[in-house]
Amino acid sequence: MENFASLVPLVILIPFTGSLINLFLGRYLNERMIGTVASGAAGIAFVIAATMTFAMPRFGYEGVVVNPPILDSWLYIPSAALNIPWQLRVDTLSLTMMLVVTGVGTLIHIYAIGYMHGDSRFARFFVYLNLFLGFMLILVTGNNLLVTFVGWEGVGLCSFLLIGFWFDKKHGVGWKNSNAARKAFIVNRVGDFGFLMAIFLTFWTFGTLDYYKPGEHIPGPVHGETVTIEPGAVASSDTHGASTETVTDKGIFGKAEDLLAEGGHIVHFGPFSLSLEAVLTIITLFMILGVTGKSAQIPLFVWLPDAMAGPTPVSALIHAATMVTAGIYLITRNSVFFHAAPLSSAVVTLVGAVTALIAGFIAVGQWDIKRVLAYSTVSQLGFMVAAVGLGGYAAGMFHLVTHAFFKALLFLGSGSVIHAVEHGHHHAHAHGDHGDQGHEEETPFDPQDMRNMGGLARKMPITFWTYLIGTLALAGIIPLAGFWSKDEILGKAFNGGFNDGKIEGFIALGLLIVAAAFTAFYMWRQIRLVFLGKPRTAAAEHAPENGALMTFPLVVLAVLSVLGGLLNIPLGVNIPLVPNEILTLWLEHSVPYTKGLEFNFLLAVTATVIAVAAIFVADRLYSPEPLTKTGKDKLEATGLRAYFRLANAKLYWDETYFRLLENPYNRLSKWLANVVDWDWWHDRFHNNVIRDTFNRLAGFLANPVDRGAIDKAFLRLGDAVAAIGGRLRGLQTGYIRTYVFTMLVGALIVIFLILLPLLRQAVGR
Amino acid sequence: MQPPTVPVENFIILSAVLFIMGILGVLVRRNAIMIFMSVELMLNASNLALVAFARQWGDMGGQMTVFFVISIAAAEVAVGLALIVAIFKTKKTIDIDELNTLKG
Amino acid sequence: MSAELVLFIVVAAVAIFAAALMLISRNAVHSALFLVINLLCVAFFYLMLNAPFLAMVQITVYAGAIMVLFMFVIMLLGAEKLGGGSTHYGWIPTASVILTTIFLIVAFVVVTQSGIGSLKPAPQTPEVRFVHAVDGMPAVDVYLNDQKMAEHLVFEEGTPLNKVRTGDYNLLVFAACPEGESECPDPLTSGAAPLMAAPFKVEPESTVTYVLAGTPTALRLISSPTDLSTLDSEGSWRLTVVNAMPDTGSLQFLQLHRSDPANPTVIVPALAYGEVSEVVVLPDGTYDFEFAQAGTRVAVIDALRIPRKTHQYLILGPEQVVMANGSIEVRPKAFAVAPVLKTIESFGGPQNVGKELLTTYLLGFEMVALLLLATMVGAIILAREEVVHRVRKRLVVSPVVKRMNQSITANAAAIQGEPTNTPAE
Repeated sequence: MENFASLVPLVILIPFTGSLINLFLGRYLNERMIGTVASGAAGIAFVIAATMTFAMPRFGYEGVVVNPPILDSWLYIPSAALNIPWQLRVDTLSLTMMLVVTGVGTLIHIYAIGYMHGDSRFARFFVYLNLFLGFMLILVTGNNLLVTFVGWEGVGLCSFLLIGFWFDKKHGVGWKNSNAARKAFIVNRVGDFGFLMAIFLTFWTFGTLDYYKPGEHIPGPVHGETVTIEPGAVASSDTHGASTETVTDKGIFGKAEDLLAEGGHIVHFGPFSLSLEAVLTIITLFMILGVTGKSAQIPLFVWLPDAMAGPTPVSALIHAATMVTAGIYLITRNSVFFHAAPLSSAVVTLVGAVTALIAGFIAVGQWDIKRVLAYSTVSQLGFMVAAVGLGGYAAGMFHLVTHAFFKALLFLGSGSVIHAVEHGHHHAHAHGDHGDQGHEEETPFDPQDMRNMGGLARKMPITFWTYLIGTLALAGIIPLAGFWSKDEILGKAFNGGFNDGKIEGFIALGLLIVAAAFTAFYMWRQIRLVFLGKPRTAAAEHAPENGALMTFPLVVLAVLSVLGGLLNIPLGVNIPLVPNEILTLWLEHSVPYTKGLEFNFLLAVTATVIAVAAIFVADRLYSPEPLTKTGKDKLEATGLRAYFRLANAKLYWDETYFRLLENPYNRLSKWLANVVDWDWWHDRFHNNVIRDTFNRLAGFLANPVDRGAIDKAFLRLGDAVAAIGGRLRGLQTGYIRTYVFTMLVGALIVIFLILLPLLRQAVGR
Repeated sequence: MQPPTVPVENFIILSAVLFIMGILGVLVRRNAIMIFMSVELMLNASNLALVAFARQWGDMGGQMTVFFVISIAAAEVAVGLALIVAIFKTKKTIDIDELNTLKG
Repeated sequence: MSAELVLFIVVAAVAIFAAALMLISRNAVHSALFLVINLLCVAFFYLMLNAPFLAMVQITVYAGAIMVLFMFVIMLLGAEKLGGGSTHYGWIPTASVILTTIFLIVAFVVVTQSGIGSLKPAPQTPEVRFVHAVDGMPAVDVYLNDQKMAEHLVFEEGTPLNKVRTGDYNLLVFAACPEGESECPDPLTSGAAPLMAAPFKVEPESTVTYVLAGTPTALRLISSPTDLSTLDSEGSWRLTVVNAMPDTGSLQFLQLHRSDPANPTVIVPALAYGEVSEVVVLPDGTYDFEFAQAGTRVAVIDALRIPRKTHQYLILGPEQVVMANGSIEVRPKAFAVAPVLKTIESFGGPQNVGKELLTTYLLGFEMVALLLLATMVGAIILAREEVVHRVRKRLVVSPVVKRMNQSITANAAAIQGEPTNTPAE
């Protein structure tokens, strides 16, 4: 497997290469070529991922750690015992993600060629898209937390670049886009803080950040059974972790398993210390913060709806299929930690379930077609998060895969609709429907507002039918993909509550069922608003179906949405030619503590009935026309109008954040700048204290000290010298006789001094 | 050498007396040439002392010193008198009290 | 009260009197003449003090040249007439008289009480020399303790005088290295047996000649004081005779006269072996000497030309003569010791002064000469006439310089191409 696995650096490099080609040569290529390069890069990456996937079974589904050729010793600081190599991991989990990312990515790239046609910065769009792909692949293939983090940050950057791609649109729309981009980046930062703390704690606890060291087997029980470790046992395709430890060094999961098995391990943080379990809980809680940021859960989901300001392919790729699933991937990868920290798992479950419900509620009241889908994404992510919180890693991954299919489909479909409506708008105006409004519009026409649509089923059949398939898949209607994955999640919740006695299981079950109902309701509302009924504007009337470049991916994704469920048919349901639990079994080789699920017939039926009922209610409510005569939603006409308005206002979530966080922060910052820094520091302290004191001191030193004392001293010295000189001048009489006399006197003195002892002797005698 | 009959102290005292008289001459007289002659007297007095001690010690060095002193005194007299002549030419007087232009 | 003292007092009184009159006299010429008298008295004192040369110099130079110069200048300047007049600083004479009197008293006290007269000159270091007078003994090295006094001293030879400190020594006589041998072990350290070893005493302020006499097996040292003091008469010399011939009786030392061979003069009547005669002073000339014993001639020295003012040693020593048949016979031989020692010149005499000037004081001598030269030149320049005039008429440019300036401007103008204008002179 090593040989095949060594291809994985290519998977990363090829999208980067595509990005670089488009970056430097983009101006010389035409749209077709740029799109081909970008989509080709994604496609080749998909092919390589598929090759590795097919090679896996031959080698026993063993995960392999790959050292890319150059960046081996990436962070090597011996004095701090820090050795973080740039290693990649090829195992079933990472391959799953790779396939999803590259596969859906390729389709969206192709779609984007048609969508972004005529854009002034066409090449740059594909540069960013390929860049994103490269970073996402780094994220999913990293073998240690830090490489994952690099990818994490990278996709955040690309998200920023792509959301704000139309930063130069007029009428303040460009500002809105860039604000949205910034919001996404900054909110993600909060989550990144959590992820970083988790990384630090992990390193402190285990001394390494690697998931698995080269040659290490995955720890933990498989299939829910404990495997007896016999020395010398041959590793079969079903049993893992059986060989004696030839690898002395283990990654974080191996170490964690060993230390937990020993029990009583204490981690020291300077003055205080905690048990290993407590530390793992803290690590996982921090990770949850990161997950809520990246995967748009409560409380950090606020960026995702605004991110819809970006082009639709971006929304489809990043904010539906791939980037937002990074959080799910993270939790799945760290299953060992979450398994060992039941508290965190409970938190995860609750967060996910609550998010699912609230997002679903908000989605009911939205008018923007993409906003509905955005909140829907948040809601579905909540499903996935709840699933992995309940230990259903396979369930979560299954839903991730199927969700990628139909959400991408829905987004691309919405993009198709928007594109058509825009086209229709220009068309209508160009054809003399100006009339009273003139060329410049007072209120800009929003092609994404569903109130401007209607009756598009007839105008855009392919889009309509694919969109319908996606809706039904999302709502969880059997036998489409969403049914199987959603049902698995509900089953996990059910098991968790009734079989394992976890309270969060009960709560999650209830919340998720209600959320599922909401899902079905708002999706059908959307169908009625957009496709059914009569066109409500001239734009909708003239909306054409889009070219094959855009409809082809829709069809492919629709097929995948239909057949996607076959990936993980639960036990108990037998479909000819399709083995059960393909995905679960596949993932078990990489994700410890993965369990499969028995098919719960009752639960499935209940869920389906609820979903169908919700669709039915929506259909009744919104036919024949979804809007009232005054253009309001039909729900507003009912007694639930308060709730509708609440949903429409997004539960005032952003406003609350503004009141609680942003406003005080801005005010504090302004105060600090103007009062503290400017007034106090500059004006008072700087000027008065420092400058004036210095000037006064200098003045003092100059005048009284220097001029008064020192100069005077020297002047007096000079005067004294002159005075002495004047007196001494008297000695120079000019008369020789006085000089001679002086000489005589001097000579006599000297002689006297010389003779002094002799004289004394003479006198003494 | 026979032992000296005149004790050396006599010569020294005589030399001192002549020396003193020379000093007095320098200080009292106003004529520049008189002053020079007094200086010659002083020099002779010291020469006398030197020769006396030379005999006392039996050392020829004393006599050599006198020899040099005499020659240098000659040189000094020559230059000094030349100076006086030159001064006389300008000032028309050799009264030292008149020669006080170096007065400070 | 010796005659000298009386003379001294008289001349001193004259000197002082003359000096006083010199100071008092109003007439400059009179003063100069009194100074001459004073100088002459001082010259007399030089004669009394054993400095005849200086006395002559004093008279010649001082009285004869310097005072003459004084006279010239006095006459030139007409300074015999002195003006009276103002006395600034009238207090100076009085004060100086007082001071000098005090000084005189002090000096008197000092001189009389200090006992200068009793001071003696430093004692001279004693000097010794050795003479080899033993034939049959090879050349010797003579050591006093570890000082080598004589090296390779051969028969009939003597060393020059060496200064030795007063004290007791150990005299060691070794056989010297044979000639031609370069490497010789140091006899002191090599432990060779000395030919003679004896205690040796050096007296202070003595000048002694030691004669190695006797036989090689029985060496003895004959000491004889050497007198190098100044001879009274210039044309005389001193003689000492040493009998170093063993196995002889008393000998007579005679001076033979060519003119009268029958009557030699007996200089030393009796001299036995190992005896030294008294010092005899003889006048200058050529001499023939003879050693005789009871009328028989023992040894003779012919035609000995003795330089004056020396102390000569004549030694009778054994000489080994190889006979015709090969045997060695010892015969007495009289010889004069070389090198000959010179007596000291008279103190203060011209020879002494000359010697000192040209040896010890040569540098001073030359420098004074240069000084005199410079002084001469300086005096001429100082006293010349034209300087004064030239200083007065300095403003006139000499014609030579004027012509030079003209040529320079002409050249400059020619270079610039302008027509030259010779300025009117």
